[in-house]
Amino acid sequence: MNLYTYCYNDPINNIDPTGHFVIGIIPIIVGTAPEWVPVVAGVITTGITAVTVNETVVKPIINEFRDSNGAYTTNKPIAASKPNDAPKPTPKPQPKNNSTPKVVVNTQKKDDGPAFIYRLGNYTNTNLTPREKDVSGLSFTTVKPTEGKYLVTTIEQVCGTGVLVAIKDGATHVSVMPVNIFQMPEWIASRPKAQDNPHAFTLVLKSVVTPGK
Amino acid sequence: MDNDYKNLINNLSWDMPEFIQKDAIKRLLQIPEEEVPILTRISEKKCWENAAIVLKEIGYPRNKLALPGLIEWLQDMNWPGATTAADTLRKIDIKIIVPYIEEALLKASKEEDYIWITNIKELVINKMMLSESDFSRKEVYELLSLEE
Repeated sequence: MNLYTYCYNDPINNIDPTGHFVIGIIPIIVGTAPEWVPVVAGVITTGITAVTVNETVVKPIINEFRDSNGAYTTNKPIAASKPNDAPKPTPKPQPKNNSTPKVVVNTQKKDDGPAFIYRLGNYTNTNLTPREKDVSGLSFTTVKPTEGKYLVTTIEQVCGTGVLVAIKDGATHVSVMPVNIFQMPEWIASRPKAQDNPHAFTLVLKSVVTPGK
Repeated sequence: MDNDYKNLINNLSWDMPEFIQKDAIKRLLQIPEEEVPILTRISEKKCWENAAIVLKEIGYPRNKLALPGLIEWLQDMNWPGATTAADTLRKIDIKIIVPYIEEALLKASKEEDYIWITNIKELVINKMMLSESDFSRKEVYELLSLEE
């Protein structure tokens, strides 16, 4: 590996424990106090510019995105500046009896309209569960199929689940993966029994896709 | 695997500049036959589309050792290169490809991989127009009727 490409040559603000993904260490502000935690951050080409999620729900993050020209970008969301530059957060009242972690999703639109993505196959648990080869995510495409059964959703809907993200990582290819990429193996491992005993991610994904044909 | 081939395969990534991708494709066309199967075992999906193009360009018989991998590519038609893999398989002589198809069907049946079976069926029935008589064993042909 080119040493200058490791962590985008910024090991202070990024980590890369696996060598596969750069994980950005950026701040988010949730609840009553700022939390400097790793979060999903970046620009998703077709729409969402930032997705921030409370660490109590998710931890690591993929900071590897491409801009509309196909080039990599490490743009960080408005809410995510460097720790030293961070403004003091205004304390917000904490709701009572709120034990469920809050998921905050910032879905700033980059352009008009939702970013539709498609997946060939049936509306089944198995088809919505990744295989062993899907270590980098379940494959979707931005190209509407012209034949056969397919499923449709949008990048915004997937990211809006708070536990899954859809990242456009090729000209027409979109990978759907857990916000916490380290949960990918357990999702993959659930595939043999997905039909009868689906993983929660499968059910979440199923809840935001619809049969297109 | 030779380090040269590793580097060339990395250069198949769609994130690479176009001229580097094209150069990698051109140079991988010279890959020795015994090394050809590595093109079906690449972990990085960003390289798959161009790897499928290389296997298509290499053609049969030089891609013979990659035929099982090409059929495995049909497990998910959403994968980069899956359509190209199907096109490559479709152009191979029926008598040559059917034994590989039969092996794949038996494996898919054993693994209860009905999505894979459906995709193989789409290739051999709807695209290649094969019939029961093209198969050596009727019971294997009948596996094509298994669905999710």
